Amino acid sequence: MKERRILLVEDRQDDIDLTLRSLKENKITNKVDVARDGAEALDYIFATGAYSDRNIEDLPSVVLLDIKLPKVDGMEVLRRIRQDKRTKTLPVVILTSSKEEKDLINGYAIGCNSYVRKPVEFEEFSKAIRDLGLYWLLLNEPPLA
Amino acid sequence: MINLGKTRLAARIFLLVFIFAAVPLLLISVITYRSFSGLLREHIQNKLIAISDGRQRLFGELFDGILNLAKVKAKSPTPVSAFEKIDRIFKKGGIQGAEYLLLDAKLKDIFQVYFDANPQLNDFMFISREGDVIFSMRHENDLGENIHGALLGNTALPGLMSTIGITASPSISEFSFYPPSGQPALFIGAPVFIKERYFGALVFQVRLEMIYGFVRNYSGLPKTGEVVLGKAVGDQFIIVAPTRYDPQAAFRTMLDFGGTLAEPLQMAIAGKTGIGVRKDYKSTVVLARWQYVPILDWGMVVKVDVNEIFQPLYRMRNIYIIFFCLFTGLIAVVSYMFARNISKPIKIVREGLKIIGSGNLDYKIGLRRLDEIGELSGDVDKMAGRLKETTASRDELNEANRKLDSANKELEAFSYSVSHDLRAPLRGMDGFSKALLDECTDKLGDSGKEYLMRVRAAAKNMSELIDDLLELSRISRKDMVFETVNLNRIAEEVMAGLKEQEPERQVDFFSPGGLTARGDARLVEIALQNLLGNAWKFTSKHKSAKIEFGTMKSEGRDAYFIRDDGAGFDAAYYDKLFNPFQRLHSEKEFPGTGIGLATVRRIMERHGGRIWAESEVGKGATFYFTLNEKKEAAA
Repeated sequence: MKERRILLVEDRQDDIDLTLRSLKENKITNKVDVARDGAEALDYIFATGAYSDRNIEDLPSVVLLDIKLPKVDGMEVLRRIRQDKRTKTLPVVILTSSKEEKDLINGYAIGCNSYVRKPVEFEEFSKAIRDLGLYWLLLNEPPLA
Repeated sequence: MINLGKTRLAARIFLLVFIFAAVPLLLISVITYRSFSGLLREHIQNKLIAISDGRQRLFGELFDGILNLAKVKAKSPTPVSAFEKIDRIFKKGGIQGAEYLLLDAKLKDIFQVYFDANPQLNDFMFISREGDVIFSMRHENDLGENIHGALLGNTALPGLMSTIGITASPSISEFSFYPPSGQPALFIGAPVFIKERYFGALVFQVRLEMIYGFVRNYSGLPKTGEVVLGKAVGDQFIIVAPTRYDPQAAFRTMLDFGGTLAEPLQMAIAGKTGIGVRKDYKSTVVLARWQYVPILDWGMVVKVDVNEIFQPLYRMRNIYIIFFCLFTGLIAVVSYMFARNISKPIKIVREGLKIIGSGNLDYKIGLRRLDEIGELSGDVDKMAGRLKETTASRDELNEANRKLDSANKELEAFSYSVSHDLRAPLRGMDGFSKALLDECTDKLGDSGKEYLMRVRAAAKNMSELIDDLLELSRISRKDMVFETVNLNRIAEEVMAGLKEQEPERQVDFFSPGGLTARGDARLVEIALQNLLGNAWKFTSKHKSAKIEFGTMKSEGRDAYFIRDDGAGFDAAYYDKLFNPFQRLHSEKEFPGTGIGLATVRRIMERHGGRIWAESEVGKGATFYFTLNEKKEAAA
């Protein structure tokens, strides 16, 4: 049985740690792979570059994607995921501190599954992760690639 | 109607002048030409009729006179006795006898008087009952001949004598060639009776010039006017007198009745009288008057070449044509000059406009004319000047707008990064403080926990400040969508939200209902959220509170107000009330960032409205606002 992994795309170590902590606190024990910029995230997903030995069919169960990223930004990563047949249905949740309407509208337009503002208060952040229904997502069979 | 849509101005003017000047002229010309030609024709016809009638009458008078003369002379004693005597002598010795010669000379003397008195006569003859020419004044070689002889057998004399013998009355002979005279001759004779017995005839030969004189008298006739005489010869006819331009016409050609030639003459000989345009003996088209001359059984035609009659008409027509061409040419020249006079300056103005239109606003047409086109030119120059000013200020405005745009973009980028990046450290501060509290709670001690709580509160406060600041900047940039906004509904929703957060509070909300305004729904909602939120907040120290949302007139305009009976504020600090980060109460008393009212003021300003307030410490506050003040003022 395949491992159900979470891909966290986030450049700030603080936010990585807090997210991992929040996941743990919420009893989500899936293995979390971290990509620190958009380019790395794309390499991971499409098994290219540093991740070329990865099996491309071994997709993560969900991608937690920050918008503001070095090299390639989150919106571009999302667009590329949605453009590729193999990853079109991959669940993507945008995590951002932005309250900007334009980010929200763009995100949904490109096709993110959910959109969560990273609250500064950690409790709210945890609640957002819970509300996303990630339990359900992570425990269920992923769509066939 | 003529479609002048695409015609040039010059052509249009020409066409109009032509239509309104030349066409009536043409019509007038045609009408006068026609009536003139009618009059002319009538005039000529009348003339022809008059001449023809005159000649007819003269013929009658002349031949009646000669007939009468013959009749009288045939009964006078002198001629009768002379006739008797010479007849006797002739029969005795012919014309060569001495007695005859004696008598002949004597008679010539006697009759010379008559002869001189009657110039219309060419000869004066006695022809005996037997047909001998026994006396002749002229003494041509007919004297002594018998009318049935070789010389005279084919002349008109036998016929005349026969008629006289039968009718016993004066008679006119045929008009035919007479060899003794070498030319045509006409005779008029009267019977002579001696003792009741027919003795012979006294015969006059009419002077040829008398007959031809009728034809040759052209007085009153135009140049081609002719009088033609003709008579029937069996079933043919012949012209019997010279014509004006053909002295040899007499007795030259026999013509057929029913032929195409000399139709008027045919009709005249046939006894008809009339007038009309026909072909004459030369096959020329003539206006002819034809008339029968009964006394001679001749036909007479008085005619004029149609070409000549209508010569003045043609001349007039030519004059008209020349005049018309000159006039049209004149119109063309005048209208061309006129059109040029108009279209040339128009062209100059147009060229000028093109230059100005292509962007050269310094260009001046400078047409110096006192008419409308001159004014137009001046107006265009003025317009260009004005346009230049406007363009200059528009360029400045564009430049300012461009700068503003770029400043706005910078601000947007700035606030975007503020919202993302400034918040991240706060998240770390709060998150790790929480982690510390969770995981190391037993090592911290009470004051340590207290400090960490403060760190978290400070982070939260900073986050709120960031949010409010961003909101203030966002409402300044947001695109406005104007619509009719139901203020009551928004206010109810805001109040419901506030009550939900603090359900334990006793707050009465009053509103008359029916409050609507033109504005951007989202911005108005934010404004009401802030104003009602403030009212809610500043009444929180009271057990029960009253909040009122209503409308009133302020300086003639609809103004809205939100009144509470809360803490109020000190009017001394009113000036600072709407400034960002400005607070009139301590954070501890009433929490807040101090940005709310600044946001509300910005929203009112963006709507072209105002906000102002009244308050006294401890007696509540009233906030008034208007929307679309400028727009209403403009309308």
